[in-house]
Amino acid sequence: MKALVWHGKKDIRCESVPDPRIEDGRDVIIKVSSCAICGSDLHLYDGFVPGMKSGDIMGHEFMGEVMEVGRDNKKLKVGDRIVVPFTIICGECDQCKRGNFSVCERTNRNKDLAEKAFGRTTAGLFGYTHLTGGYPGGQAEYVRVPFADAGPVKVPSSLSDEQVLFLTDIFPTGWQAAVQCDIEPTDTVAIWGAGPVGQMAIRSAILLGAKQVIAIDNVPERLSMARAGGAITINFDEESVVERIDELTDRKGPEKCIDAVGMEAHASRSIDSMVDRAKQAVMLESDRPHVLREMMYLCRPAGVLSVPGVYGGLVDKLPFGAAMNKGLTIRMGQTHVNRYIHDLLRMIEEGKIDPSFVITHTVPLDKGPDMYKAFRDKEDGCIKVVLKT
Amino acid sequence: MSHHLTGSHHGNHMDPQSLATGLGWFSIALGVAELVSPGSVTRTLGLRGTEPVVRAFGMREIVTGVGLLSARNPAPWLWARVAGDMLDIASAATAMNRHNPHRNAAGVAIASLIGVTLVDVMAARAAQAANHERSSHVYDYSDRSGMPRSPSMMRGAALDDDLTDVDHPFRDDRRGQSTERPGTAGWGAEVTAGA
Ligand SMILES: NC(=O)c1ccc[n+]([C@@H]2O[C@H](COP(=O)([O-])OP(=O)(O)OC[C@H]3O[C@@H](n4cnc5c(N)ncnc54)[C@H](O)[C@@H]3O)[C@@H](O)[C@H]2O)c1
Ligand SMILES: [Zn+2]
Ligand SMILES: [Zn+2]
Repeated sequence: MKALVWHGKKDIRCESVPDPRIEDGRDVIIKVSSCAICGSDLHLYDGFVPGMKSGDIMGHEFMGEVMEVGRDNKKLKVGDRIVVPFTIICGECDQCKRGNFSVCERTNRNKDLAEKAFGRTTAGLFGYTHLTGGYPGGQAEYVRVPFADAGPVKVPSSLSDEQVLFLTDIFPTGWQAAVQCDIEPTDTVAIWGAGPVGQMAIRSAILLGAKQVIAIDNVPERLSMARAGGAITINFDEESVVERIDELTDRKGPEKCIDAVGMEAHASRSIDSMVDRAKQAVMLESDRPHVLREMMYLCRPAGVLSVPGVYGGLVDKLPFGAAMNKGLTIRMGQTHVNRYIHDLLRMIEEGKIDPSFVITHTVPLDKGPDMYKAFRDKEDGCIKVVLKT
Repeated sequence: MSHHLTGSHHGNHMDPQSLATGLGWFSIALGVAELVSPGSVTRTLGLRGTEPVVRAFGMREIVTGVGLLSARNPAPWLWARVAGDMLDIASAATAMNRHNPHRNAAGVAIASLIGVTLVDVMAARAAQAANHERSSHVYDYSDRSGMPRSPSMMRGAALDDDLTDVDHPFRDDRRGQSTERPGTAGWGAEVTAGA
């Protein structure tokens, strides 16, 4: 089959690889109909996530039709059309029972690696580092879905692939980012990053009743899409984030802040982000926490910082004193997709939201490598890429 | 809703971004050398006693280098390099006086500085052109709200109905959990946050 394969930094190729096979009774094999490229894939593409190996198959946002079912899987049958959450869950462990799906205790088959890196294991993830199990991903014609009687969700034929595909990741991710904010009707929610996750977070914050939503980025078309979703926008290349946020919040700061940028935050006009870039280059720190710093500084006391943006290792010079003394709450994590996926599917069915608004490019799978570059460099108005097999 | 990409864009011979990155590392390497052993530079050029100046130039190179590596838009940093090149040439020119036994070395240095300046000017021009290409095309996504009515009408729409009412796996665990952990926004409560 054809798949997008990681070979190193900025080196992803469309190649022929062996078809996947059932390995466990709970598995299914699906034929992928649509898959997408995520901002998290860019961290792998840019070589910032440790534990990748040449030959790894990329992709964790995918859906398709069940072709083959393992003998112990009583949930799915051949022909079912399913979306597959990017966090692999067993559905039975203590964490899964509490709904903490992204830290499922059983699905990471490289627990020892994860424990070395993070102290304790987290869930297995598709198409990601070997620290999270190294499971072959969904930017491919076929995928083996392990624990397939727990995670995947059937979707109705009345909805198109484009409408339901993002239930696998970015829609629940933006939603969880907003839910973690415990939004009240008087709240201002400031969202750093107007990429696909930021866009979903903007709509989620509106749907959850935020009074005012502010989006911060420096890519004009992303800011235009943010305004379409109801956000007031700040272009950090053109205006001072601090001054504008002060203006919009009576100098008190937003009650809730969301980091939808993660470890590759761009240098804005501040010196600290330049120092981070240099340190990261010489491996003195692995992540650039520019957005985290800005949020800790600007957030209103007793506020919440919600962090869907991915970090991989160590950060430097966090104003933790500001965060502590202001009594901020910090909530973060890979998304517990299965907590929200049914509710969100219902919202799509009811027509309250159609997540396909974010798609700017639809191309065949073998154009994938070019699209990684276009998405990363924001070429050609690119915000979200869907690949068709 | 989505538009198809017709072809890839490989118009430019020289990729301005990778050229800028190369020059960025070059700046840093040179800067570190000037900072760590300014003496070797001044000796070659026969400009003993000017070590502090060379150190300052080293700092300048490092700042420019980091700027080049970190900026999304390298153009201003490349022009900063060009300005720095001019300064370098001017200082090397002071070594060209008749009494300096190292006049030839200074001449070679000036010639290569001119070469470097040309590369910098080319890179800065290319980066500027690339910027222009990018900004000359404006993508308008102002119609992509993703919601059936205006955002102000959709405000709070997810709170209208009881989203916890659907029957699905894990639902029972979830109810139990949220009553066991009062006030911690167990996830039954989270979905209807603010309701
Ligand atoms: N928690 C999860 O489960 C989860 C799931 C999906 C994605 N993510 C993460 O969310 C983040 C965003 O993903 P995406 O798909 O939207 O990626 P993206 O790269 O398209 O979006 C990031 C956006 O941040 C902007 N940005 C960069 N520096 C900034 C700064 N200093 N201030 C404000 N904005 C800045 C960029 O211009 C870009 O538009 C990534 O870190 C990704 O890994 C997390
Ligand atoms: Zn993702
Ligand atoms: Zn589990």
